[in-house]
Amino acid sequence: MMNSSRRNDGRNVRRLFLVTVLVIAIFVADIMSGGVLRGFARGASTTVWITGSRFISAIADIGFFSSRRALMDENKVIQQELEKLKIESAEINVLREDVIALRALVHLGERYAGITVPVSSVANSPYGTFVIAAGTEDGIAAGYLVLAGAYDSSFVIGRVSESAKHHSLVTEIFAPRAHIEILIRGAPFTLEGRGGGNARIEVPASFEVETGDPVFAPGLGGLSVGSVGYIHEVRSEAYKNIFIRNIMPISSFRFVYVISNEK
Amino acid sequence: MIFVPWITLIIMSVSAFRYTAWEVLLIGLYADFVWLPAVPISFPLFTVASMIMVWGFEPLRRKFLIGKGGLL
Repeated sequence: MMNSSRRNDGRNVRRLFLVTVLVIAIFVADIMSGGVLRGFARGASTTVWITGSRFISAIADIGFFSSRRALMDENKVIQQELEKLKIESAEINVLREDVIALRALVHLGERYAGITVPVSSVANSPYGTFVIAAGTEDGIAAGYLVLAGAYDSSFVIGRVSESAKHHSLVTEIFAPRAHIEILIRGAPFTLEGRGGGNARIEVPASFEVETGDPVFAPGLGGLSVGSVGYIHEVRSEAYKNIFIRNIMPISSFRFVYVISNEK
Repeated sequence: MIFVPWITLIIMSVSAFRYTAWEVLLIGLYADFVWLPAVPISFPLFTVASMIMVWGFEPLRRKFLIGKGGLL
């Protein structure tokens, strides 16, 4: 065993005796010298103490002696901070998107008297309707036009069909089975809504039209309602179908601009 | 930490518990040198304690521990 050398044999007793004598001798010598030896001892211990303290502090600073519990607590706090930052980041992103959406409507305020209203329901419902967060309290009434804008352009996307105190129901211009009078290249036609921001008109095969041509609605203040998206033409037929679409998908709007029908 | 007095006493006690550890004497002397002022001459508590641990308890240690082959 490793402790076999520590058996209480005579050799160990002699060693103990010698060390005892040595200790007494050192102690007496120190007293005789006025504490010179203990001065050395203190100097050495001070050096060791300072070095050890720095070493322990350095290790403690890197968390080597942190307990598992302390690390778990710290980890929990950091995770909470991370969640908080994620939420703040998401809020900032929402605000940024709102600013972009509102900035796109700024020019509408310069042209028409109206109010900017947030869309409060999923736009583009199966009925071709959506809800906006403003109503009669905000001066909105049935028949008002709902506009969307993309910086320098604006277009009508719907009309207020019902208005309550704090919210209104908007029916899209291109709602299924909706019919409105429009102008393409100055020629009047009747548009048939197909829902989903799409509509169709039937024009004579000889009518010159191109994809991207703007579509205006005289009954809606002469404002644009969309553009030509696709032309379906069969040579043997006297008519061709023109498919109209919103300039931008309605589901992408976070805010709309509401004006009276009289502008 | 080792320079805290009561920790030094614990170390001395543990070291001298089973065997006649002569190192305890040096530890006691060192502790007195560090903490005991040279003037005026005072009672060297740690040194005396170390001597009691290694010499004074030696009969007990011999009788109950070492004399029977220790704890092992």
